[in-house]
Amino acid sequence: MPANDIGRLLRGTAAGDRRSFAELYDETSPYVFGILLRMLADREQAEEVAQEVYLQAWRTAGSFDERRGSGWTWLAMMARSRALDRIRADRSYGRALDRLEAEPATAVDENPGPDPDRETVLGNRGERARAALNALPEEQSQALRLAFFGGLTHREIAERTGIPLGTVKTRIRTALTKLRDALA
Amino acid sequence: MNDERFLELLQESLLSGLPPEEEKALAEELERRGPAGQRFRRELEETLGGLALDARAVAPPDHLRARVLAATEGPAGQPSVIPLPRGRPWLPWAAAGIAAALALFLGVSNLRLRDRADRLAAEAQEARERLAEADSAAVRLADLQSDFDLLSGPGSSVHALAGTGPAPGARARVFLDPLTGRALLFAYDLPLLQPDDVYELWAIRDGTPRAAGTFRAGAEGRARLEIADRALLKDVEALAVTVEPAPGTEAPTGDMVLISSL
Repeated sequence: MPANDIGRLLRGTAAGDRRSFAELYDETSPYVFGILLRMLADREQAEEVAQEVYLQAWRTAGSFDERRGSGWTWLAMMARSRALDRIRADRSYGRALDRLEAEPATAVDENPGPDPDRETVLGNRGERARAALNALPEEQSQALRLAFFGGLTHREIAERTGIPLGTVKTRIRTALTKLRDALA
Repeated sequence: MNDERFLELLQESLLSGLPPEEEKALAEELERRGPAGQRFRRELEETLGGLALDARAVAPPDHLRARVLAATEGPAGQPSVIPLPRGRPWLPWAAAGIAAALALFLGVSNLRLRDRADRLAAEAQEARERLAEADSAAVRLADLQSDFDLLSGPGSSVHALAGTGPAPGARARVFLDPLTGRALLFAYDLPLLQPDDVYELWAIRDGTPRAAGTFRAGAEGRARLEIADRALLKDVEALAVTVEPAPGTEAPTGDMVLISSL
């Protein structure tokens, strides 16, 4: 599926087309569910939040604007936001952070997603993202992952890792810049 | 705002949010930078979208798809309300199933117990009624036996009373047992009385009537009276029955309905 097809499916969803919504779910749910599992470290909560995300997508697809970003980013950021809401009010927060620190490049092996032989835009982009992150110095990739998947502020990362705040900001900015270049 | 500060605020805004005053400053800076600033923001957001794919894809369970798609059964843009499972998704169903089964079991058991209790209560009431009837019958049988003993006693004597005045067809018998001292009156064909009246038996000695007891007749005009003060019958000259106001009087005032001469 071309990258812009997610945008097309979101437009169809906004028009109330249930087939577009079903296709959107089929194409993106393994990736959304993977994000939620990574952030929540709890399969049951990941299921709950995934349901919330897609209900929100069905309800608010009309607010998607392709001029401001891709469909996938719109959906992924929505999933991240809902997951952060959940983990900030849940005991799994600490567990998820511990996991992020212990296994920064962790992968959930159970119930693998799409057939690895089936090339998808999101799958290919994910491979590139992981390759770029793995190429980063560990302190940079770890700071970026704590900020993105753990939802920690720069200051919280500094406090948690004992690294000066300025250094944390620099590491994250550097990591983002390299990642942007790798995904461009 | 220099580029470094702009980037710092932008990345922090997208990753974890900023305090309101810094968000306001960032918005103003984006406005000031125009399309270039918006383009940079978009590139950074797309980078985060790519970073999200660092998490490997994992197939969600099929039941999640069913629940999510069921939400689109409602009007477009307004999903139906779907209960979000909390905790183990099977637990509410299991608990509900167990509760329903338990409620059904308890309900059936309760109905059975209630039905059995009702039947036992009815049987107990019936048994009490039969016991009361048996007691009553035993008392009546004992009375009848006693009456029979009196009537059949070797020394018993009987004295007849005849109807008079307003009850010419009435008749009575008084049985005396000198061995036991018991005395019984049996009357027949007595007229029905007004509710406030009673029949009163008089033992007449030395020309003076003495009250020997009051009684009422049944629907068939029959009556029975055991004379409690047996001394009243000693040396009695005559017996008479009059109609008196209830509960009886010290001296006869009403019509005489029965009279005997001993």
